[in-house]
Amino acid sequence: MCRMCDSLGGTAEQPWYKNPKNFSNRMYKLREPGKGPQMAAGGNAEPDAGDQRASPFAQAVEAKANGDADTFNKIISDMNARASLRPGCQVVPLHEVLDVLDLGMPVAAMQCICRKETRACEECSLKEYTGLGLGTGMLKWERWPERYRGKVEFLSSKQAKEFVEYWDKKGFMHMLMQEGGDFIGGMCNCDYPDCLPIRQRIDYGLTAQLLKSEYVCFVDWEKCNGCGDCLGRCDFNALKYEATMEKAHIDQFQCFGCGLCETACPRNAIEYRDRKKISGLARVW
Amino acid sequence: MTGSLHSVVKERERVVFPKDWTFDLAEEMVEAIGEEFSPSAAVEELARRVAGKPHAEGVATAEAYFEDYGRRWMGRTLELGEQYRDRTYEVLLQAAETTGGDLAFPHVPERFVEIAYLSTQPLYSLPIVENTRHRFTFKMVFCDTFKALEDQCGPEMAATLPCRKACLAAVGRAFRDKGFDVEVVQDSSLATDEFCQFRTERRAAANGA
Repeated sequence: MCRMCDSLGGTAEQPWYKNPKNFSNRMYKLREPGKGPQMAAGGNAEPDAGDQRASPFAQAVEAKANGDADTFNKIISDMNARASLRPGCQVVPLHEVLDVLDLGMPVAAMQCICRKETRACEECSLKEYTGLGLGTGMLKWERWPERYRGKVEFLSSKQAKEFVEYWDKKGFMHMLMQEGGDFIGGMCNCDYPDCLPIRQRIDYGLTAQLLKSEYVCFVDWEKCNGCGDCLGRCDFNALKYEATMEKAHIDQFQCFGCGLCETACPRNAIEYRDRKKISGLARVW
Repeated sequence: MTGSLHSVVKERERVVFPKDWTFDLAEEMVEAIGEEFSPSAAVEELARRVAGKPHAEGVATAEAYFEDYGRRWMGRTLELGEQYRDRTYEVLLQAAETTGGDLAFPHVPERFVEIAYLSTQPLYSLPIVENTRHRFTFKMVFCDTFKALEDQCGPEMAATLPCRKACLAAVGRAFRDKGFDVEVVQDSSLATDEFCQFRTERRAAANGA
């Protein structure tokens, strides 16, 4: 099992994100004596001036740009060590995401904070939103800090599933996040290079924050006719066209198990296999 | 990028919300319910009613007493909860309305269950075990009612856990009054386990909030 299942009540049969406990959260909390009320609506506060100190990751990026490999490696190594001690996020394929949407409630579409940062684009309507907020925290979205807030649109279970299927078809993989909160608060639908966790893992070796899915994809060469519909869907350089065979081929060590290739294959030639049951991959998260 | 999926917004208009919005429960409501349905006062009254009665008769009296107490406790919570609305509840009702009632279960009745327990029990937040579209489950690890029952009516009476009737009646009323066909069951008991746990199963789709 990965550390997410170890720390969040997952089992070999039921990964952590299928445990309803991980989605459950109260709606209210009474103030403890001596503590003041949380101010209404982050929009009333002035925007953050921002921390003037560079984050460790920003320092690592700068070190890499300056060719200082030792500093870069040290910072990334420290960040990985810290990240490995707490829950992070995990890639989840579409068929499991659809099950999860019955557990995490309420569901609301919202903007992607990564895309806002990496592309200076804000998603401002349901046609543009790519993220999904889950759980009772969504009922208090109006008091989030300004940098996250934007707007949200609440979705029924059916609408939420259509939303995820739409972005899957567009080529966005799915991730569930449990980063420091008491419950699973969100689902990302994103791609490389917009998604910061993907980019940090692929480009900078920050491997501990984003975990691969419970699955690895395999191509059934009896069914694959080499049409190539899957080829542009992989964000992880795991999928290539095997010219000598005229068929698709997946490098299982590179594969994150997002299943975007599987959902694009018109011949059902790509199948999932349980990562934990493949001895060479059981510890490759 | 005009007309593209993502429009570049250099400076989005900041949305400023009313300053008097509060997302927390009204303190006067919590205090009022706490005073009216104090567990120690309720058990004190029960102790008077069962004094001198044989054990079996005492248990039957206690169960009927708690069932009535639970119904009244939630009835008052529903009344005050609607009277003292907060922004969290308003957003929930809007979300339920825009999704055709889809988001009403379990959160609309859950709000009143949380109010009821936060008002009367030594809790800052109610431990929720599951609140999905299928069921609502919570647990009570520290319960003033059970403690008062042990202190005032004795461990023999407490061991029969007649107070479960209050929780079952209160939770059932919260869901049924909000239009949901549910079954409320007790999964574990403070008398035999380390906590009480109550599970509300949805039997059929309802009309929403």
